[in-house]
Amino acid sequence: MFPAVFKTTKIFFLLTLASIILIFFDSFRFFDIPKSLLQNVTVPVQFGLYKSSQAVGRQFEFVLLARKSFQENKALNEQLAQVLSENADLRRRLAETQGFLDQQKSLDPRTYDLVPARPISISRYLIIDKGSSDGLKVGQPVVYKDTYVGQIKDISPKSSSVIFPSDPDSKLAAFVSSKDGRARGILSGQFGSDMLMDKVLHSEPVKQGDLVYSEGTEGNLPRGLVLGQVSDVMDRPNEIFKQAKVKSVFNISDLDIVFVITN
Amino acid sequence: MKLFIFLLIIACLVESAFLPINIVLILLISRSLNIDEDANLYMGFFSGIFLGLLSSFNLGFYALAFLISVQIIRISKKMPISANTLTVVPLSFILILLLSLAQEFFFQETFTLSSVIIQSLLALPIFIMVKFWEERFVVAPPLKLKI
Repeated sequence: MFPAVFKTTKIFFLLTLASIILIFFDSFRFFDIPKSLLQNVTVPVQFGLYKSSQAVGRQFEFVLLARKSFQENKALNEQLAQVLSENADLRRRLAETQGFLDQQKSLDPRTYDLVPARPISISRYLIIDKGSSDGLKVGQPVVYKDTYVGQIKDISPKSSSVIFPSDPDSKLAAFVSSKDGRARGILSGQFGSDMLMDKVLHSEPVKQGDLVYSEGTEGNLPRGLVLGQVSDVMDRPNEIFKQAKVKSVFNISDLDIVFVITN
Repeated sequence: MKLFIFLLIIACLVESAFLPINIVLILLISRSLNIDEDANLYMGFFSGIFLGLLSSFNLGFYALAFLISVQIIRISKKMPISANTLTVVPLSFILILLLSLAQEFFFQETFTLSSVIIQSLLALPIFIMVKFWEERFVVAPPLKLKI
């Protein structure tokens, strides 16, 4: 046991001594000639290894770049979605602001108290995002610019249902005004998007393309709001009154904002 | 042993050419922990000279560093804890850190602690592979069933 340990220690010290001698002599460049001779052999091998490693590295670099590109693409897509969302929001706000300005031009805010509301759904009735907590009441008219959209039918604290003039339950006193004169009648909704203006005297002039206005006899509904446009006149001599088909002047679903006349 | 010497030569070439890992030292640590013989000292000495030559460093620097490392491993093998396979990780960490500090002191080669930790962790699979290779001819003792 002891001789073996001694031998090992002896080898260690001998090799350590040899290392120190190598350090010392190499510091004074004693081995430059043998080193340069050996490096004539080793340097080409090292160069070959280095070039090979570069070639392999380039292959892996492609994989890394592809991964990086995928991550960048993902991040850009997220950013694009965010920008598109912001853009849509800004467009909506712009449309609302534009609508508000147009509304002020059409109905003087000094005369009417208007509450802007945003349509949130549309089926038989139009649902808007304002309700009783915003001061709205049943029966108040909803307008866009100077066009009648409908009337509040049901109300909840945060939303309201608006009945269209084209709804079968809707009946309004209306008149047609043209250069030939004026015709009065009752505008009632039909099943579909059209309305029917009934109870028009034969003597009163109505023709296709004339605008139909509100008479203003129903509660809060102001006089002179556009209700629609005459699309067809049914003038039968054997009937007491003549009728006119009336269509809406715009598509309700295109609206971004409407206004409720509260007072 | 011939294969291990060949591995050391390849490791010296690879380390000096492009791989910034002390692979030669890790190999020496792994073998010294597996097999306690004088050949480790010789291999440490000559691989150190070869690595110094390839790296254009002082010829004796790596030789001395590897010799001391092998000797430290031999001393640590006398401790019971060295039987644990995971001992290679802290031992490698200490020795690689010491070598990196020496390189920074003598050759102004900076190093990062994260690199030392990664190299220390890399020593574990290398140690297991060396152990598997060196013990391939060791015959397991026959099983004796107690009746």
